[in-house]
Amino acid sequence: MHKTKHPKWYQLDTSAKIYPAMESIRNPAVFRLSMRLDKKIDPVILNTALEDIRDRFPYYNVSLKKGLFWNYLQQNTNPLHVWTDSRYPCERIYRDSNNDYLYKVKYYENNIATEFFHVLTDGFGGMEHLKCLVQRYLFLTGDVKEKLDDIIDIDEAPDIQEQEDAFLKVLESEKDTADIDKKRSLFSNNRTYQIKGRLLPMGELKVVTGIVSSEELKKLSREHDATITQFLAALYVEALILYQSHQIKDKGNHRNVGIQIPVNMRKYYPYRCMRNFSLFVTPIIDPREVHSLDDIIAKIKEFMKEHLTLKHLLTMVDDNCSLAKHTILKHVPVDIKNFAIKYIDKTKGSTQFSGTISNMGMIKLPDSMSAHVENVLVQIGAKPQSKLSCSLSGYKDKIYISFGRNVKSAFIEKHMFTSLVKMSIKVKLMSTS
Amino acid sequence: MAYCIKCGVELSEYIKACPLCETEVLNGTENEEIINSDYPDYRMSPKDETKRVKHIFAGKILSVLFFDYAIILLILNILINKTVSWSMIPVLSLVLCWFGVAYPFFRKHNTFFRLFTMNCIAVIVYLLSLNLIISGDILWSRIAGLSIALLWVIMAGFFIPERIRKILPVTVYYILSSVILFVVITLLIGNQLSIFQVVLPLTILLLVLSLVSYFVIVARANDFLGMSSVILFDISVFCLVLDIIIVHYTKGTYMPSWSIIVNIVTIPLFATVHTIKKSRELKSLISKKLHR
Ligand SMILES: [Zn+2]
Repeated sequence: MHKTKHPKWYQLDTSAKIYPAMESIRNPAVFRLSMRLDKKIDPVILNTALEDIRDRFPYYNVSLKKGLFWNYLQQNTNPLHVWTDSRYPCERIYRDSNNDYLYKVKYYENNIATEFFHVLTDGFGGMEHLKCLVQRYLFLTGDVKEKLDDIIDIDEAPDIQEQEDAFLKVLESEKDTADIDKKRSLFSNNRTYQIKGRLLPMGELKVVTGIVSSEELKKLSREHDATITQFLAALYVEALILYQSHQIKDKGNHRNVGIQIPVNMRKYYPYRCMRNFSLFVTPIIDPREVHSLDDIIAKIKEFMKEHLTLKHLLTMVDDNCSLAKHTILKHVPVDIKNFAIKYIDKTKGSTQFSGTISNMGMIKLPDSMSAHVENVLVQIGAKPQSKLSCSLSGYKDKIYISFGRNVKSAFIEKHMFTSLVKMSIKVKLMSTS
Repeated sequence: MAYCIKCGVELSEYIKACPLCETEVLNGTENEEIINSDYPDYRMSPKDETKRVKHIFAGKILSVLFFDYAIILLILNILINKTVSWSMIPVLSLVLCWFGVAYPFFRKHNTFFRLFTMNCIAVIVYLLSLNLIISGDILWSRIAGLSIALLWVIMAGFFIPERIRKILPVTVYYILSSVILFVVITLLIGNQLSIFQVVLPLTILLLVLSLVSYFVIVARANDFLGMSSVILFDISVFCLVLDIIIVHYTKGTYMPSWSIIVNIVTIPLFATVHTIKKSRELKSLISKKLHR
């Protein structure tokens, strides 16, 4: 890897612009994807695989630099190293000890995991990278002989679309339709309920992962006339409502409960985007208005139906771009901007929701690869405000419900999993010690 | 298979207590084989924050200790002699000790070379002030301080990082430092005005210019245009400073004369060459740093 004189550079995508400002040990903005193989991982081969695929993902092999108005990403030619996994996932990525890279590849026993700083991409982009890495690893160990469809081909040059800011592309292509709701009602200004409790020591994240059968869960969700995401989100909300009444005795002080659900925009706009291209919808539920799980499901369904329309999504994209496109704000020096973003996020942004539930959907791997891959897990970190997050991934006939929390109490997880058990769903738990 | 009797969930084999309700798993499989957990048990944090906190704590304790001693000595001195006199010497020594012992605890990244540098500076300052307190001048301490500085220069040769060693060969480093050595020795023995006012500034100027040019040429400008722009720059700066030094020595003013003419020629040339060289780089840099 020779040092180029004019290193390539990329603007941060619209969603990524806020992450460098928000990042801290408490809120590392890191997500983790992992696959468990059928054999122990050989770190040397893994490192070779990582080096092999690096040129296919130039937009991930970058370092974060500071400009006058914005941060930007600059091509990074330092050597890449795999890491032994550590006890707490989604730890802050210290750039100076990671050769300035913004992601890490870790291994432990049979697991290969990647941890990405959110500036680079969202879970869906990261998953394509992990699939490609594992495929290359299996190719090098001789377990997979041929090139596989549906996996990014490392001999192919990267498509220009992969590195583009898809949000801006969407706005550009849709600007004539003018179907943007200018009345911004995306965020209620109400603070939602935030779990109370002392935070664990910095950097610690307790993980509890429940494994359930996807057939059983699908059937149960269908009985409640909901999708799996809606059903589990409703359970999560129910748990939050219960926990609120448990923590705050005075009913008059109860706040609304908001649940943040990421939406993969690639489903709605066909861009081959490998950077951030997700948005959030946040159903807000008033605990006084719901009396059963089905009430909550109905509320969430209604909200989703209303908000997952192309018109509304476009409004959200426009909203997401508003900072980057604002004539005055975009000319504010980056440090002042970051300070303001940090402040707004702490006081307003992060209190807009009480929890996050992120569904990566069913992960499908080619047959010759899935023969060697035992599970696929997703983990997102917990914010100091909402303190807990849930991520779902489906692989083969299982669904993995993974909670990460930075408080001691496991109330929410306990409610979720015991409710499932009561609805006669078998749950198997995995956990950090 | 292990279950939690309270929650009804199945638990992975390695789990000792239910992660939901903390009920311990009874009759957990007592067999000897080690069952691998899904998550590692050890923590390997790239920056060990706790360790640093402990270090800072040790540093703080030492600082307080030294500070207390210094205060006690000063108070004693004032009580006995009604003035601060003899206590200055042990207090200064305590300050030196602080630099040597306590200060390293506060540093984030300790390397031997950094500590060595800090300590050299501390010792030089210590000797100078000691001399000043005792005899009111810096006669002997000047020589001692310079010899420590020289020791530092020679030691520094061993610690040139690999990265810089590629750019600046050790031989060049030692040639340069021996020139300084030579000058300083003449200085210590001869103690003539001309050495202070002409030889030393010129040597330092040459040293700085050649070092900077070397770095710039190797790192950023290793082509014809780059090299010529650096050399042009060197010529104009060198002539200017040389002129000023000579004028100052002979006439006592700071007004340059002939070097202005040299600069009238070299500066526009330098500017042109530099602009041609930089235009592409500059363009990309500006678009990168100032993108909106
Ligand atoms: Zn239990």
